[in-house]
Amino acid sequence: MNIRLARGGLLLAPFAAALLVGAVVLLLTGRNPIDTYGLLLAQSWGSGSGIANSLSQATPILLTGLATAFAFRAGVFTIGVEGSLYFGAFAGAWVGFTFGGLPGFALIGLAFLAALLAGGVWGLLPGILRARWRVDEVVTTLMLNFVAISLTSYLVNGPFLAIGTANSMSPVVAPEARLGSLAPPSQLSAGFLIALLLAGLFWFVMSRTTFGYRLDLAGSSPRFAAASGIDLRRVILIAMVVAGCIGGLAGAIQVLGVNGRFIDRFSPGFGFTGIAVALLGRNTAIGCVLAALFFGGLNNGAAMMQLFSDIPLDLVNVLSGTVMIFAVLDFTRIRLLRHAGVTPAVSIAPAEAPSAEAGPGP
Amino acid sequence: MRQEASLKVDGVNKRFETVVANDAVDLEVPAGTIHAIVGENGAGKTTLMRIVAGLERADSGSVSLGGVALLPGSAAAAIEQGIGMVQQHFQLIEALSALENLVLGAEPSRGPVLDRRAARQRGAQLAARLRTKVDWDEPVRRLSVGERQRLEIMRLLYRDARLLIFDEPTTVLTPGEVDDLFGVLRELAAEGRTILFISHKLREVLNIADRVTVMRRGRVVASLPVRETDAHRLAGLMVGEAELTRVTEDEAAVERSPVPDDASLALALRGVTLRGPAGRPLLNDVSLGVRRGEIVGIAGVEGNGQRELIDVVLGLRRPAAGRIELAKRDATALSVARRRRLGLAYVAEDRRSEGCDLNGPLTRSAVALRIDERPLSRYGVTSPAAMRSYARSLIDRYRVIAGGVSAPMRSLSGGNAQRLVVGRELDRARVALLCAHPSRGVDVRGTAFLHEQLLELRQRGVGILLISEELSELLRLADRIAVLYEGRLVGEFARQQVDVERLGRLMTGAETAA
Repeated sequence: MNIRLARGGLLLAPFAAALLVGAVVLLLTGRNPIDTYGLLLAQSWGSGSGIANSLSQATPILLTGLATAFAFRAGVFTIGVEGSLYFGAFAGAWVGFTFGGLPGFALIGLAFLAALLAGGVWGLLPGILRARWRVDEVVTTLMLNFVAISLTSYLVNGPFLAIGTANSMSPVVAPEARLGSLAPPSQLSAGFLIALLLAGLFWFVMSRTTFGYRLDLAGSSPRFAAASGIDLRRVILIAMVVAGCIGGLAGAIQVLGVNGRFIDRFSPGFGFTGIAVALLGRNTAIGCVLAALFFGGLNNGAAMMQLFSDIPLDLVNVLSGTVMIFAVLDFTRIRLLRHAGVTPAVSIAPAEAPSAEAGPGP
Repeated sequence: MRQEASLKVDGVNKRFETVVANDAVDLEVPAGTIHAIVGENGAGKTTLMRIVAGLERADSGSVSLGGVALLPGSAAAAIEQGIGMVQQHFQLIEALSALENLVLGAEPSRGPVLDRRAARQRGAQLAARLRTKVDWDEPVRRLSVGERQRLEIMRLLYRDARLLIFDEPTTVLTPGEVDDLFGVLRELAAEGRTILFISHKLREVLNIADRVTVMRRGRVVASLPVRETDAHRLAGLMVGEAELTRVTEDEAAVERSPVPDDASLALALRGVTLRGPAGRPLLNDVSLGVRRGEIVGIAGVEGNGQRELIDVVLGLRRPAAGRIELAKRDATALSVARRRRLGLAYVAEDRRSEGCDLNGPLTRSAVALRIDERPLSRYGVTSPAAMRSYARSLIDRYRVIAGGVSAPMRSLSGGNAQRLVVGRELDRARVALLCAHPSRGVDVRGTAFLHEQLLELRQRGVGILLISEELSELLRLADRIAVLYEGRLVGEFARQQVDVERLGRLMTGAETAA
């Protein structure tokens, strides 16, 4: 039991370390860290509207976090969720502004379906490359992100540029396609509930289904999985496609819930923050929810804080950057726990490690 | 060239947990000679070499070169003293060029930058000495295995190594490359350098070495000039002839019910050939049948096709030619999952990476083969309680000592992990069991228990293909023993008629004709 406690403590360690580093930065710039953190907390979680905005900020990164975590659990190191996000966002927007005559329920359902498909297809390509020819998915997914961003940019600058706008954006979606607002006037939409629902589904699939069991085993111990009869190629393919689907959904939810249209280069790196969310959340559903809330609150609090004090937005970047560094350092692998015989339940390493021919040797 | 290069190893001991790798090992190699070390797998050869090269620290004992004692466990000190080792897996960086690899760690520099001209000059000198040509700008990943090995040797010479250690240098080479390597070794010895090399291949040893030391179970059992011995005698020393004769008499004499003549084939390979990357056959026309209720042992020195045999039987690789049958059904094109559903089970060669998931709880590793069955899951939804109770039943039945079903797999000792793995597989073995090194890293009592379980499985009519490098294990369990050498089955013995001496010669290639 105290092992579990120690492990829980270590999961919090990145946050503590980040706050510590942030405090040093604040002290060096002549500010009181306790006051500053208090203000940050009050702005992000201290009022109804603050909470609503924090949750709104947490929505897209919870979804991209779940997408990334799903792939990581299968041992696939995708960083292509950003690309799927753009594709899904465009597909969702396209349905929204093209099929305006449909009733809301059908329209939203159709938009989500299109987003899932578009995102999934975007994950399929690197998935095939990896499963079939062992092409490193980190490289392909990273590169395909740029392709996705540029391709959607072309679409809204050319064929789908909204008439009468100078900025590169698509026409607005039909009002029926908009997700319901949960706490007007904030931007918090029903999309947050969908993200939470998906987190619940993630938990169920991963810990209560044979499919999740196989996925986990393939990611954690690929050779054992293969010898037990699990088809690793299939797992890789499924992981990439599903990660793409969830990424696409994240894009559509951002369009239908917040922006109302597809805007060129709308994402401030939701897909990449999703990687941090997955790492920080140890690829678990509950961990992703907590990490998304943390980053959501941080972003929201920082934006508000800038309005009311002279503390620069950069401080938040220092904080989130530090959290990420400490999260990536595999805290649970430190000696203490190794002696206790505990290792992390999931590994984020790619399934096939490169051959051990590195090192200068004697 | 620095001074004298004679090597002296004095009373070296080394234990790895429960295994004694080196037991009071003495070794003397005069400068300018080629010395071979032979022995079965696990005899302690590589450990000894790693201790000499400072890659491993001995528990006690000392190593000296030219009369100067070496700092134990320091590779840097060993290099400084002039000791270099070419390991089985080359220590080159594939992305860097041959030239960069050559000088890595001791780069000639002009100011802060690599002095490429000086490096190239040294490289050219070394290449001339080895009478070889090297394209220095080529990245190592594009070099052939032989070229990489020569580059490794040049690396050692670049640092002026006086003692050069080779761990099975010929296994990766073509016959022509082997001749070239031996030419180089002879010249290096003629310069006064000392060569130590590990080999399984007795003919090569007799061809190249001045003296040979035989190791068995961590001990030096003989050290003698090659002209006073022959392959036959060395093979006997390696496998421990006298001891094995006794084991044969004890073990093989144990009464057991014979395999019924009409027992049907559980597993069959017909003319199975598997080719490696360069078209080299890894398995060459292997035909073998295992009947129900029969244990067929595969004897052989590791690296002679055992892993490939596992791969094609289990379904991880498809053979280039031939057929694999399970319970008389053609299984050649079937996936691992389909073969397992037909009743094939597999006790993994490498328990830690292939037999269980060390990153998860015990339960996760225990249920791998039953997760699709009731009550462990229904319609794809798992029941954690049923999973745990199945894991518990395996723990009980196979007497696994573990801190409960939620204990991390990693916390189990080697022997207990193996009990769990064997239990899980035996529980699913309905037709055939592919069993690799079941007692590796398992203590005497654990081994006895596992053997009992295998014999019981045999009684239940399952065909067992047993791959082991422990001859005593094969002799105890197998109804027949086939010998695998360089991807071919080169001989076969019935239980009561095992000629241990000849078996040893077949295993080491001292005798090739079947």
